[in-house]
Amino acid sequence: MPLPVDIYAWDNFPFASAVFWCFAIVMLACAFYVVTAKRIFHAGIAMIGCFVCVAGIYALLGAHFMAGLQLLVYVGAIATLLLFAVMLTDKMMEPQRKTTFFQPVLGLIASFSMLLVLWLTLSSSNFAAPQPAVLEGEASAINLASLDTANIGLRLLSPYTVPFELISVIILATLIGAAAIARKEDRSPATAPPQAAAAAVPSKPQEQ
Amino acid sequence: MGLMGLLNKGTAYVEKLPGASVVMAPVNWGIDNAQSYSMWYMLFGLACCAIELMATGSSRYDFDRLGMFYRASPRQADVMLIAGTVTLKMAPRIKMLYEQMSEPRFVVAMGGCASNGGPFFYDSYSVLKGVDKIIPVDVYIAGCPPRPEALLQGCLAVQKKVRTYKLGQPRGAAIRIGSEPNPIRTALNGLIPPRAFDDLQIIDQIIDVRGQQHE
Amino acid sequence: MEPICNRLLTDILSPWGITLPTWAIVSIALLVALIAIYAAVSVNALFLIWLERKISGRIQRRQGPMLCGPKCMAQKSMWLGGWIATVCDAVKLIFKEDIIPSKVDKFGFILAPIVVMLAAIAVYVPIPWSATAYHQTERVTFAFADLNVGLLYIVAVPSLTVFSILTAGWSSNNKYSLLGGFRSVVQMLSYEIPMMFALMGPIILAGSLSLGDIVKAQIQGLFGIPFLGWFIVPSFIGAIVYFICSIAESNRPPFDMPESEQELGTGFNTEYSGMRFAMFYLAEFSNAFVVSSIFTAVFLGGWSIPGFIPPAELHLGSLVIPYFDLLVGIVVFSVKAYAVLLILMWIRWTFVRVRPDHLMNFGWKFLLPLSIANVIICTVIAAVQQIYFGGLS
Repeated sequence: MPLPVDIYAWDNFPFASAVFWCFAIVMLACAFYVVTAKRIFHAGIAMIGCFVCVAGIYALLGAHFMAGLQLLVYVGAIATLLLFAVMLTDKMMEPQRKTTFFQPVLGLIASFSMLLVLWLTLSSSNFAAPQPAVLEGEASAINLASLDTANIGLRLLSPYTVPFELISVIILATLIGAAAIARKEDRSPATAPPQAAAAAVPSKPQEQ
Repeated sequence: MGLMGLLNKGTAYVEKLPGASVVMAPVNWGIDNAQSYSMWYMLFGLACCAIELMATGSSRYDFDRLGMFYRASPRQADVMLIAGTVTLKMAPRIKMLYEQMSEPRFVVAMGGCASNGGPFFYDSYSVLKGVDKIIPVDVYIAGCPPRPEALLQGCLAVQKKVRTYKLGQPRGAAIRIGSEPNPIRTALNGLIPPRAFDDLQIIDQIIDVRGQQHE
Repeated sequence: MEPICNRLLTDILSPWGITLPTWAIVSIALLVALIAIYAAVSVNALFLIWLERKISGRIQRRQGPMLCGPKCMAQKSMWLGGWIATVCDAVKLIFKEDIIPSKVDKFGFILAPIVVMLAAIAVYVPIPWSATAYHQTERVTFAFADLNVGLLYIVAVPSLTVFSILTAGWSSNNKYSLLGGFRSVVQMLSYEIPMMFALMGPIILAGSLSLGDIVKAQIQGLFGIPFLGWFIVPSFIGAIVYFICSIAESNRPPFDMPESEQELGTGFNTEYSGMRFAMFYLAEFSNAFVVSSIFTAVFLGGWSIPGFIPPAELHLGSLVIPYFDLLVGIVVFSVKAYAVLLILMWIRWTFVRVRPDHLMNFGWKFLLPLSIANVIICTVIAAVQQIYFGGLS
């Protein structure tokens, strides 16, 4: 049974503030380096640093399952895939990112407008915990205010079943599509053009 | 870099202080003994001596008893056992690998071919007559091929050499006590006149080969 | 660690009437945990390297290191000679020249061994070494942090290893290292999925992701029989699949494709020398031990002995040993973990290296369906347990 009081959650952990600031500053530094790194691979590594810090902040908020999934999915799968793609295209000896004068200016304008939009949206929204509705039968075991693994699982199966199934169907379609795109062509002799077969036969005696 | 550079430079500096030998001698003793019991050899078998090397590494005569086991990468190896005939084609590669090894590094010339050309000393246009023409060698092991016991004795000799460093002496490649002559070449001197084929010219080409495309 | 430290500090300080505030207890617990984890992991890894060499020697009818340390001990027994061989190795690696080749990518080259070591140590955190019921009504698990998503954490942290091996291979500016890095990543990613499914069996049976709970759920026994409680019984297929996948995850032979390229030529740590290489080396052996302790905790009942609960304090005449069950638990856990580790080492020196395409075939086409079948079997067993025997936890 987990601890009766989750000491690593925000309200109970005495150094939560300090730990949060560590994660936040490291994440901001990594994010800055992602944008300004001269070499794309370094940007990829810094992005992984960002993801790890985000996982830490999730853990501080008490969403341990989310933190684990963030590490598993983002760092383990998405970032690895990204690094593969970068490695196959990045040339080691050339520094990338020759920027003109205009690019930082445009970038700053774009990011400040994004910041403005986010600020306005977040300040006018309400992040209070959802009111527990009355759920009957098996679903009454769900505690809508909690982020436990058990509760997430129950919620996926009772109130949110249809989105869950739809998402699985979409993922299945994606997998099949990716496999179809990446499949090798069929090279068996039965389907080879007959000219190639005819040309192959007379060449053998010549080799001897 | 950082810690390791500080350690190496720091010890060199401390050793020069007066009275340092009292403190540094046991430290050096400890480090030298540790290094001697953990010599990792580079997997570099060239010819028939490589078979004897493999035999020495297997169960009857065991290298791991001496703390030696193989690493395939020169950067992680301490001692390079040149086991086999060194051809002129292979020689620049050996030099490159020797330079890639990290200090402290040692070389053992195993067998006749690596010591002075072996049976190819008299009449061969493609063999380097002794690997010490391109890299400094610590121990020469005679034999064609040397028995595993001889190879083990050679490795023990290298270990003993590591353990008998003096205080303040730089370790590794820079320490070749005097320029020790090759005892096998000295012993054969004048006994068998080689043919007029001289590999010294080719040696210059080989030694000059860093980073360039070789023949 | 925090509950145990809390209890311990309260026990030690209460005779003097001192009560510490929460922040002091948490900080002391964190400090103790940090020091303990680094010390334990390093010493354990050094011991394991020596053990590996001796066991490989024994399997190959030879002796391992014998001439290190006092040679007189070598005369008496094979297991006494050469006991400081690994310490010699470590000292030698510290004093090796640290080469950073001029054309490597310095950032990645320097970062990779650090992250590997970090991930190797971080995986030790949720492992339940023991549990104690001293002055408590129910047993509190003694782990560095008994996370309530412990198994998810254990599966997620090796992603950092994956990333750092990739970085090491690429930064070395050596096409063979790059290939070695690619192969290692592909191997680890394709064996992570059967591993997760294999671990799902015990999760379903225990009803929790926390490793402490999984160990406790193995105490009650299966279908009312206490001696069959270890999850290796209902989830036997899962145990075998997890064992095989864990060998692949820690890059050990017979799945040492990235390392084997060293034996045959190169690998992702070709360009590393000295202490950087030592970090990869130690991380590999720490991973081997962590994988065997996870196997012990999840499938072999962890710190529990079937049918026997040690008393919380032992009375020997007038001497009272507190936290006795904690000590017994640690001993039992270590014995089991080292037994599994011996089997891992035995497998290493018995089997031939697996070819890359065989490896992928085996992982995707054989282990994955097996592990999914294991999930179904465990669900059925858990349902039967729940309906007829009132559940395991």
